[in-house]
Amino acid sequence: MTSALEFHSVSKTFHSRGKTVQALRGVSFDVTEGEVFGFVGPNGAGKSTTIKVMLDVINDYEGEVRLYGVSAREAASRRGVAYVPESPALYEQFTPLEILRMALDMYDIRRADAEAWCMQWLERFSVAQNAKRRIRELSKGNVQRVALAHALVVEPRLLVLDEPLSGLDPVGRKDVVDILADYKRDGGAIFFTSHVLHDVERIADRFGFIHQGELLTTRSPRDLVSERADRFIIRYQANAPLDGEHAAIRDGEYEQELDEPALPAFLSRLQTAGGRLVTVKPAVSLETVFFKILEERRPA
Amino acid sequence: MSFPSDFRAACRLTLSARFLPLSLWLCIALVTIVLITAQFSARQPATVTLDLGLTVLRLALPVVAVLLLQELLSREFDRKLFLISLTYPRPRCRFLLARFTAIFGLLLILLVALAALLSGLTTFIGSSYTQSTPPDLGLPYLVTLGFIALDLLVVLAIGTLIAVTTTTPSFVLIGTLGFMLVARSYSAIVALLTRDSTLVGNADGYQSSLSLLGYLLPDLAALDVRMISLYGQWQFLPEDWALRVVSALAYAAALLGLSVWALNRKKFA
Repeated sequence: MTSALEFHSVSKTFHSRGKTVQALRGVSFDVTEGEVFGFVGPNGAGKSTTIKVMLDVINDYEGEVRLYGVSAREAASRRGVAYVPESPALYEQFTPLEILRMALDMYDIRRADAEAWCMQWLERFSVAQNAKRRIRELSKGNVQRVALAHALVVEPRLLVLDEPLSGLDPVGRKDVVDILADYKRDGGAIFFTSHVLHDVERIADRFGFIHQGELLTTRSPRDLVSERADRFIIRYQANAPLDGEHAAIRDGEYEQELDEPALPAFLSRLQTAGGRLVTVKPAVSLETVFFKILEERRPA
Repeated sequence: MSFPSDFRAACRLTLSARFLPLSLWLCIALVTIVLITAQFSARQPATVTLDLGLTVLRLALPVVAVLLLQELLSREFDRKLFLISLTYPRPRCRFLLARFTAIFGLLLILLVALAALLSGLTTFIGSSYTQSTPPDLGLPYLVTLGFIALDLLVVLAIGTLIAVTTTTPSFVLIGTLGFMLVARSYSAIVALLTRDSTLVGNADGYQSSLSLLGYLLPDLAALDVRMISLYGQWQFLPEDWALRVVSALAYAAALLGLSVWALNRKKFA
């Protein structure tokens, strides 16, 4: 499968006021066409620097980055690549419609129905009613939606998103996740960063964990599940916890982690005690894996 | 990847950067200043009108240029708008050249509009009194305007370099206008010291230091050829006018080249 994005041993060091900070340390990974790759890490881990390197905003780095086989140092590599920064800044004096028209212009996309096409994208992001208001008059959430529409209006092959769901309300988050799912279904690749692990779990085909500039691991959800497929978290309702050690979620509702062989016996005991099963889900999650990896790498 | 797309976007940004209100204010200021000051000369009102009007153009247009540069370049970096504009599939040099060209193009249109207004005012004021040496608003006026445009080009080029290299938007204003002041006055000081070396102690040393500036700075005073239009006589046009044009163009090209180089190397943390 063709690579949409390749990082080969990329390192970047910042020098500021006598201090040296290694933002990226030999980072290597690739994203294939049509894949959704989530880049996870705490604040300051190197996620945004990775994006700036791939889009040539930062160009003094070591290693090699390629977009669809073209060196990221060349402007042509960004053909078919669209980017939405975290808390995006757009020209405040323009309207959303003008912002989207400008994107078509800058990607040299000529369409006879340009205005209708832009309006269609603004509608998809529920900002069509603000199409002719100035950006400075819009809320932060709506600016974020306009920025996403601005990226998708050019029908990119690779969408690069820096914390795409931050600044959105729950409805907005769901809308965006749905639109990204549609985009993926149509064959688009996504590279996105987040420090909210739940968002990554919802969207990504594969995850990369970055910490202090070092890419610790890349895994797929299948890898995660197979790693600890024998552990489950059971949530149940009962008058009292079945063996007195369970975490109480709220009054009368408890949670317990169990090995697979112990599951039938536990369910039987729950039935006997007159309890009610709420959910059974795999114990493994992106969050648990992330902290496990950090724990493993911490010096003894 | 066509340049017109970049240019169109840059023009839209320039127009939305208070260009039209600024232009309107400039027209009002020009009319007011010219009409008031023409009253001070009973025998040469048209010449004084034109002289003062050209001074207003030479002073005000660079200020407008700087304000537009602040809006289109400095604030672009300051407000992190570059995260979108520099990640389009276009080379950085095109981003810069499009904005430079758009600002210069719109300033030229403004110069033409103001020049037409000034020409009308001069004709109107001149109609009340027949001067023995009336100003020439034909070809000499056009040549004068051409030299003003050249001066503006050099000032815009240095402003662009400062806007790309500095991180403080206000420094674009201070630096560019400071540069303009020095570039427009140092040759006059050299000429003055040549004529009268008793004006300052160690005039020779002072003069040679100033002459050194001639290698670093363009001589913008040399681009002020308004005398040909004020008195309608070509003999006021300096003999080396072609050299002055080439020199100014070379400085502008060099400064612009440096700006592109600086933007390509600019570090965005």
